[in-house]
Amino acid sequence: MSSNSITEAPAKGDKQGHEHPTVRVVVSYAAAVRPYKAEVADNTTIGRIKTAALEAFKLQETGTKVFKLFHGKTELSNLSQTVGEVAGGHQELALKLEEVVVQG
Amino acid sequence: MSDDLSELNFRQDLQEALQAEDATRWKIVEAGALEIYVSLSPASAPTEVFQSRLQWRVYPGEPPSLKFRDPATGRLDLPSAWPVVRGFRPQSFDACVNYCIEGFNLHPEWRNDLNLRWNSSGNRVLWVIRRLQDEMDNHYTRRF
Repeated sequence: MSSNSITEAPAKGDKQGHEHPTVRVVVSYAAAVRPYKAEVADNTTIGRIKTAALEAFKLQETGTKVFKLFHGKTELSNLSQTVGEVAGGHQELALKLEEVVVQG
Repeated sequence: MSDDLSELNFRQDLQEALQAEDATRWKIVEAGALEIYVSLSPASAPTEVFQSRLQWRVYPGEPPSLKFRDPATGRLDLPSAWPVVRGFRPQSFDACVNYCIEGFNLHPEWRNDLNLRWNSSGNRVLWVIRRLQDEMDNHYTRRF
């Protein structure tokens, strides 16, 4: 999966009023050899990251399949939460995109 | 899907899976056209090696059969070849999970469950191996 950039992240030197620090987000998906990577403004929502990752992995949530984002073992169910809030001040954020798995 | 197409898809995904960074944790042996032996160890017990046998009938459209194999004899009917993790039933030589055909045979209702049914998108060889590895890393307790 090649590296992608979400347009919310202002380029270096851009004057856009209040500039948000950026966070390097890496989303891994077990059925993809390479993760999705993006450098985004810290006010980017988890929802946007999920949408971009689904697109990068060529996946669709159409009501026939649900994918969930996890930070460690914590499911990120609040898609309005920002990358910065989840990253907690770190410049990198590793997430996992997972399918629902059940054991007996 | 024809057998030829299954084999083509399987071979392509297997080659890709071997390029994954975490593939260094596995020893993968091709045992048949749609069959591989994958040796893997739990993170908590790196000297314990379990050899899984994954065999597809149709790839990637159906889940694989999952068994654990005794490498010395090739037997698939030894409970001691199985790790104790969630959903695995060493004494029945099967696993009640939604990433192998045995699980779907035990729970036919999963086939119609929108969330639990088999998803054939992406690299399913890699997905199943990583699922096994994740289970071993996070839920392994002992060899049966």
